[in-house]
Amino acid sequence: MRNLFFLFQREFAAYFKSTMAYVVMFFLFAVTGLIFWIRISSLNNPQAPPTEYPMHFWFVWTLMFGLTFIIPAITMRLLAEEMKSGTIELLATAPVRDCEIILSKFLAAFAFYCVLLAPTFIYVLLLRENAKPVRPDMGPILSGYMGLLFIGGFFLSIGTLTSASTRDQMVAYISAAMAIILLQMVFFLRNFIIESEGWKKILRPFDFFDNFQNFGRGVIDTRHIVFYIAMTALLLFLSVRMLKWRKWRV
Amino acid sequence: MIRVTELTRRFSGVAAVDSVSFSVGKGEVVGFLGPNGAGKTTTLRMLTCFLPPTSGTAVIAGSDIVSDPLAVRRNIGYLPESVPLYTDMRVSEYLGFRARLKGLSSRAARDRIGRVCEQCGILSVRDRIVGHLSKGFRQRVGMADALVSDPPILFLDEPTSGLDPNQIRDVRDLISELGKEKTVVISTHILPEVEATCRRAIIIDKGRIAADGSLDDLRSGGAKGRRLVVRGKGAPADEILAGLKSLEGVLSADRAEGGFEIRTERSGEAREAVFKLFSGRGWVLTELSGGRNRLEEVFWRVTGFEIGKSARRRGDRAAGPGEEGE
Repeated sequence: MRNLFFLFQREFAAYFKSTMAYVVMFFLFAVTGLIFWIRISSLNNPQAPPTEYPMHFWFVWTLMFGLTFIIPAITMRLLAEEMKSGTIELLATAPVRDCEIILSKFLAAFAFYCVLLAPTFIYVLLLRENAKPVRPDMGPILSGYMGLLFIGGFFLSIGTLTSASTRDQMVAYISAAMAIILLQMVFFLRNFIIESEGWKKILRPFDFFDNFQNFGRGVIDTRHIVFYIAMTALLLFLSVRMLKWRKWRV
Repeated sequence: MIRVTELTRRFSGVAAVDSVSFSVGKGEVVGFLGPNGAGKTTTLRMLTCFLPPTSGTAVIAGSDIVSDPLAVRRNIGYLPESVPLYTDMRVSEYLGFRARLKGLSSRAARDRIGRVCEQCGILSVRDRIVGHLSKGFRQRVGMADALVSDPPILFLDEPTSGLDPNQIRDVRDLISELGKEKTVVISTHILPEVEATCRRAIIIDKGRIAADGSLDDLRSGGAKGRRLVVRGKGAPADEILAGLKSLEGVLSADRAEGGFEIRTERSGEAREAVFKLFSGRGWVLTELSGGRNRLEEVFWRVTGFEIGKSARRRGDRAAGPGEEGE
């Protein structure tokens, strides 16, 4: 626990020393700001149909465009950099467990992800301020953020695993982005290609757009939460195995 | 302090380290010698619990590297070969992180960092960013990291590579000083380094231990007695050889390059005897030297390197096959 804290501290601080962090921030705010602007324009259009969930559109598009490209950028350096520079040898010969290394790195990435998401709450405040006298329902918005955190955590664990699998950050980035895009494909597969109901059912837990429908509408389904936590834990476990297996290649 | 038993590591079927066994006592400074690729780094990585061994084990400071790696890691300081460091941190910040990770309280960490910075000569760069430091300073930061938790056992992998002669001397002095109270294992292929800092050497070649002993034992090559080289003329070589063999106190005499090599019980008396033999029979003594085998020769011998062979090979390349022949 103590080690976890020191490792986390160093890892989290390292984010703010890299240019990448600021590039990622800029990119995320540009994309989410644009999506928000499109959203507001459509809300202001008198011909547009009324909506119960004004932020839902923003959440879904942020998930689709923002996170696909941003999450791999957050995680790509986690272990790949340590493998490349050899610092993994220092870390793994200090009295710390491999699982503490992986978990601290994941938590640092998750904390940085929260830091990235936090300022987007301004959009919610702007919406509240400008929608007066109507007040948007905060429930679905908060549960939407919750969905972003769980799904984001799952994506971050994918990135942790890809970063543990290579010493090349670019390979880690691309393979994580590809994995996330493949997961997005599940939505298209289920809705437009697969006809068999059986397959649709099997793939359902992996269709995070479908899962997000609930989060974005204020429904907190524990099945989804358990699913994302379990998947995250599984991927982190695989990352620990990967780290053990890869040490001899350093 | 360190007891290694049948330690083996295979990489895809090939044994990088093959049933290596040795032990190192408390306060010993041991040179771990071998050509590049002999398995030195792999052995150190197993002893520092970075790599698990394929078979065999080692007990370090009372803990087993396989069953209790965390306890082993608490008792060791390790300087890896390439001196990896977090280049985005400041020196003091980096050492602080490492000290806390190794279990020091924040207060103890502060004290120790001051001490090791002084010992390693990096007080002047404490607040600099590691990535901006020169190779020599980085090496010393790595050394400070290995020392920061004041471990009883140190593993140093090529501690002087890339340093200038002054820095090399500083590091050697530091190692000698540390050797007074700590057990130190230095992996290197630089022989003068071992001669300067260690009393004992373990030579490893192709994953196996080729020689293990005190430097004096190794230099004498395991053979008894001290070595003397004799060169002279005035009689057929066989006659001189027979004369040398007949001397009192000479254990053995053989022909060597351009002369003779004898092993004696006491070199002082033997020198006199040799001189008297030559002058008594009217031969000319052109050289009487020797004493010790150089460690380099021991290294060549146990790692299967033949001087003549390699010279010829080089000659082949330069002069072409037609010129060969003696």
